[in-house]
Amino acid sequence: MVFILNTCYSPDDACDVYAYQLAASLIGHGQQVALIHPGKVHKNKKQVALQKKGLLFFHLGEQHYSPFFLFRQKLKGYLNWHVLDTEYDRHEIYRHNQRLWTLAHLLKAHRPARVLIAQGCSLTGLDYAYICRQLQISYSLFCHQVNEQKMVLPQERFFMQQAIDGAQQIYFASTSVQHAAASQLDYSATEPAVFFTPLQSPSRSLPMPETNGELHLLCMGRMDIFDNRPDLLIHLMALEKWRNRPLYLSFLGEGPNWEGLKELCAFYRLDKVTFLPPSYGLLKALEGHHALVLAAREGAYPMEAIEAISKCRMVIATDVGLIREWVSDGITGFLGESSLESLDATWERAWSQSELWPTMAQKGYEHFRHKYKDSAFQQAMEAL
Amino acid sequence: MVCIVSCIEEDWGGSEELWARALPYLGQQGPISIVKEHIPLAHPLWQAFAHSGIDLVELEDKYGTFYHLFWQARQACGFAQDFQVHLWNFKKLLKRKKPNMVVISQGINFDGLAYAEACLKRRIPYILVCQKVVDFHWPKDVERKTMQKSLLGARKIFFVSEHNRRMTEMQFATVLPHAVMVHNPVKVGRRVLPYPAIDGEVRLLCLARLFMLDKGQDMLLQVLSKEKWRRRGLRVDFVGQGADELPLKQMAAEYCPDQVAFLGSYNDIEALWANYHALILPSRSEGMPLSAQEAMALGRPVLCTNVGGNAELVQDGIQGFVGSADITGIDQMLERAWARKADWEEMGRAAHQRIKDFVPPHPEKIFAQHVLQLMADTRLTKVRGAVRRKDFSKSLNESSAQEN
Repeated sequence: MVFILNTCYSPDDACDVYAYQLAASLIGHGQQVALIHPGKVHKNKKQVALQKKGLLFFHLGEQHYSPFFLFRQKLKGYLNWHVLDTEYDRHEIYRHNQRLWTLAHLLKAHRPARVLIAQGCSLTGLDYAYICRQLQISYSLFCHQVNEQKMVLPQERFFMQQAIDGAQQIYFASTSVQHAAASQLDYSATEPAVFFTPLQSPSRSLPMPETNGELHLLCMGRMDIFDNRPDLLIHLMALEKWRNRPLYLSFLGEGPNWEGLKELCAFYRLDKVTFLPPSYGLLKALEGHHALVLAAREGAYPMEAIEAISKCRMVIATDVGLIREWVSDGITGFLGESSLESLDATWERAWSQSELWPTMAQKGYEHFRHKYKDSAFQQAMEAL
Repeated sequence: MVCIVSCIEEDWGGSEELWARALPYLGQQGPISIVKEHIPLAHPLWQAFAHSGIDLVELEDKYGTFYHLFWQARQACGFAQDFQVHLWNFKKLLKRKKPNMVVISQGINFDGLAYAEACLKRRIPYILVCQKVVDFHWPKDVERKTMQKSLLGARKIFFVSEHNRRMTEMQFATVLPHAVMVHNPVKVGRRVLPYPAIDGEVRLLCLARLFMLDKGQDMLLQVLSKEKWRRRGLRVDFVGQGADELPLKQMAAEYCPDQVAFLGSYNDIEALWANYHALILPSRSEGMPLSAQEAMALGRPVLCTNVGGNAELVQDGIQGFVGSADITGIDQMLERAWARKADWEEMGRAAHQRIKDFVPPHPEKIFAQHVLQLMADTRLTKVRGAVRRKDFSKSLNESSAQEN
């Protein structure tokens, strides 16, 4: 059995998508797979489809345990007993972390042959990796991003370095992420081990739709205002100058703020903003729009941008995460910062060069074809 | 009786000053209860409340480990998933004390709406105080309808800035006709302190909680790491405490070790300002920052981002400089300020005048008057309602007597 541990709480981000793709690929190779999520999630279509093929699904919350087990764990914790009699448990960080001892319980019960830890940030999965090391279960790490603002605390450094050293393989979303992680965690990086999240639909050079004097922009992804700031795009569209221009914006996705965004549009009385149902389809949406726009405040692996670039669409986005590895400002797209003023200036630059969008999209597509390795995912699977 | 609910998790904060200073005025109407999840009696101000006879009510679970385990076990069995012990205790408090008015002092604009919902369900009048709005922190869709009702059900909603009111209306997509502006009291004396000479080193003070997500110190450090700012004689000292103290110190050590220092907490703000030329606030979100009001009251210009009520308080180029809340915006704002550093002393005097014009001398008194007026209106409404019901029943009895 193989465990895939997704350490990110947000559904539909790169880490989550990658975890499901790993699961689908391993199930396709005849492996028994269990997918573990850090918190309780609502069932989604991907999960249901894979469960029909034999995927087991766990989450590291407390809901699936009996009250007697919980009572015993709480009692142990309150009486400061060692939960697993391991070195980590004596450390304050781990003693009361329920998710860690829940994972330990699952690992002991199922004894998987390998644990694959899909991390959004290089630090998020290392606690879980340490548990695997203590229980002598082999594991591999997939790291999408390094969050430079999150520093490694001195008391955590030892455990995290032990977790890194004990990994069978470590993969990174890019060489820059690999170097940044090595610097942050003070370990020596060996040869590059870069992986690419498989595309949701194959890359192809979609013809640009006719403009007819109008430009249609698409924002796709998780409609979560805290990280992705789709509200900024609505505030932008509400500005007088953008209201008066033949510019249209569509949203495609789902998220905890979907209804709030619709209500904001109604509050502003915007008639040039459309909300597409999730069933609309990524390819159909990109076919009908001239460019992708994003306003994320934080980001890691720019999955939506890569999907758009792989279909020959130009990207106007904020400079977060790894976007610069895929979009060159002024050449294959436009980059700004996640504030209304900066996005306004960025959109203004893009607007003034709208006749160059097809050329920029084509350059972006060629860069994608040069950089993206379809085979990287398969190689990672074979190595596992 | 007035019940004041303090929603912040910390022991004390700037958001508590308004209701705390209004207590002597509110006490005129009768007893006061202050309610908080956990009452930090080790804090001197809370000790002072306890000694003054104010009823302090703690909403945390009082029944100890066994009770806590009982509720954990219930939830593990699938019951009472949404149970929160502090809300349950608050509802019991409302039933027991039946306050005439509940003042819910929130840290942001919807962190206390669960208490408001409890008041609404029991038809207990309440007012909301919103000290800040975070542009990128919205309520989830599943909570919106309930929160909208709680917002609209308040007798009044007090905001500290127009931006906060507008943003709340946008977040909830509803106009708030009962919104009122209120100021927080300025804790320092309103006098222009002697301005230190700018002779080689320009010293900026960043007086804010060390919490990057709100206060944006990480953006400032990234700006200061640029070569041009390293070469200029610019120094920034951070005063405050917070969850991000260690990562910020590590970031400063890596980006700009010679220009930056972390001084911890300071009680004597006036003495602190004697050595600094201006306040810098690179915030991502604000209400109406107290540190800016204090700096301006003492004759110091403010360099800030255009979030919250900053741009309402600080007029760009007059009492300070305002830039957008991103790295480029902060950099450009600092450049403009640097180019005009010879004018900072004059701007500081203009800032002092601005505070005199903008913030009334006793905003807590105005706030208390609002609350007392609302309580009086509520009593009048109840009396009128009773009279109408009495008149109706009297006329009903008369007509029955006539028929008989």
